[in-house]
Amino acid sequence: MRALQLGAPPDAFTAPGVSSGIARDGIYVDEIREQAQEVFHDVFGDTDLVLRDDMTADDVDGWDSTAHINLIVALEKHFGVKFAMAEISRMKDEDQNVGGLLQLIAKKLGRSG
Amino acid sequence: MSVTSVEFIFLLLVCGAFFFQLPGRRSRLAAFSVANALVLALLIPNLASLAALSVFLLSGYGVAMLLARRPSSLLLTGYLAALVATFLVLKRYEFIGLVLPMSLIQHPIDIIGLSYMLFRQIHFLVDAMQGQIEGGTLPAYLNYQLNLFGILSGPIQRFQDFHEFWQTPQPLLKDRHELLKAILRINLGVLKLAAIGAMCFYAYDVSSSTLEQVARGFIVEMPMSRKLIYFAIMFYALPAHMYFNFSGYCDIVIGGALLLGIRMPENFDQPYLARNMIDYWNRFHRSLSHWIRDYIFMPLYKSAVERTPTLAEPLSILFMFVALFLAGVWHGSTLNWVAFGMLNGIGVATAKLWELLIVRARGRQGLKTYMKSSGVRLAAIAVNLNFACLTYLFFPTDMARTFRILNAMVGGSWPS
Repeated sequence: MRALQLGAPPDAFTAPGVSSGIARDGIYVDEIREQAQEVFHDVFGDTDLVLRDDMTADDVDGWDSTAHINLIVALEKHFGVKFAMAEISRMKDEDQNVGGLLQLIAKKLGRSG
Repeated sequence: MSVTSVEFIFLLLVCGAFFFQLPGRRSRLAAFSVANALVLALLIPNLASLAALSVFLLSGYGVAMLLARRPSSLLLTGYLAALVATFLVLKRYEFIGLVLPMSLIQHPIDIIGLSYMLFRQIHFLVDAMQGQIEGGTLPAYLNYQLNLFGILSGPIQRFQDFHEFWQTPQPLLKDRHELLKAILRINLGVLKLAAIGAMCFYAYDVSSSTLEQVARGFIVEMPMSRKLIYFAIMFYALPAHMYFNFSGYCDIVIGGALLLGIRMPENFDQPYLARNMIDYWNRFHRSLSHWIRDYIFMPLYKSAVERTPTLAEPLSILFMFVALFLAGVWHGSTLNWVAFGMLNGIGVATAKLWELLIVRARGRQGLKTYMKSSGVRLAAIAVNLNFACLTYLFFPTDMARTFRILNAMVGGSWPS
């Protein structure tokens, strides 16, 4: 699985089930992706869904405004983060994708960790 | 001032020609600020309006800065309540007379574009409190609100997008081909607004006036077939006028903004090919419907998902109704907008309910098959087009006239 190219990872995570103190760039985003994928499976009821960085809302059946909020609330609960309204709406933009969402979660986990 | 006026087009082309000849960020921003001030000066009718606008904008900025430093839901809610109340008074909403003295709305204040400023202000306040506003200086904020490319009728731009330009006012158009496309877009906008849109309005005006003469008894006899033709012209010409008029305006301001390195949000995406009213509002006046989605529907629905997850799905239908009803009412201060908002609210709520019923009956896969069927798609577009046109019967402010015409169509006589 291709890792996202991020800056230096945070020292530690506080999200449940995400290991802390990972040294190599991108690896923790892979972990976030794996866990986010499970959340996507639950929200969209599709266990065949495989998250890709370039995936957009148009690529996922049923990703409308209500499903978007269901997903956001599930991700917030799972990772113990909080998204601002501007971030939530920005994720629905045509130029945004799953990669951006994972990066945002990683950034928030970095801040909280 | 009209966007098809010689003054406005001249201002656009002059700005476009000289803007990037100016050296450095400061001089460009100064020129942009002067252009905004000039447009504002042309739009403000009197000193009272200027004073009211100043209070409206500066109070919003001040509260936003307070919220950025010390987030407080209480302060935000209190200020928003005062802001909306002020807006209703400034816009002279008719229902105020039912609960408060009429003298309250008899004032000389007239601020063009105030409705759009309200949306931008709420967005700025909420985002400031949530730490999402960077570089929100007073000059940046004032120019964001008074941006000549959005002051009249939108599109509603996010501050963050405007700030990209404010931070680095650089050309967006890579070559002469893109420059030509932007200028052609302005020309196309003028054509849509001043020619096609105007012709559609003429067709609407003639057909509706003729039907009103029938309703009032000035035309005694008219065969039903002819009445139906006039009604069909009236029914479709007004939505066509709205589309060409508003999308033409957007072509002019989006094209003009591109000349100055500002990317305004797109507002239209073939709206009359939408398959339901939710789809329609994702294609028509998109910056408004996205604002409604982001600042009314999503917070309401998110709160429901967090607090009462089992009720969230049925509540989503109610919230969609509320969001679109408010959008309808926002359009104007007269009672016809209540009917317009109700119909649009019913339209989106029905679309959501229909989707939920399909999912319940056939599952997600069933919905997918349903959505892919070209026959269903064609039928859905036809039904939705007619429903969208039906909502426009309540676009004109004179509801009595609309009902007189409808009454004449069913052969009734309007009570005198």
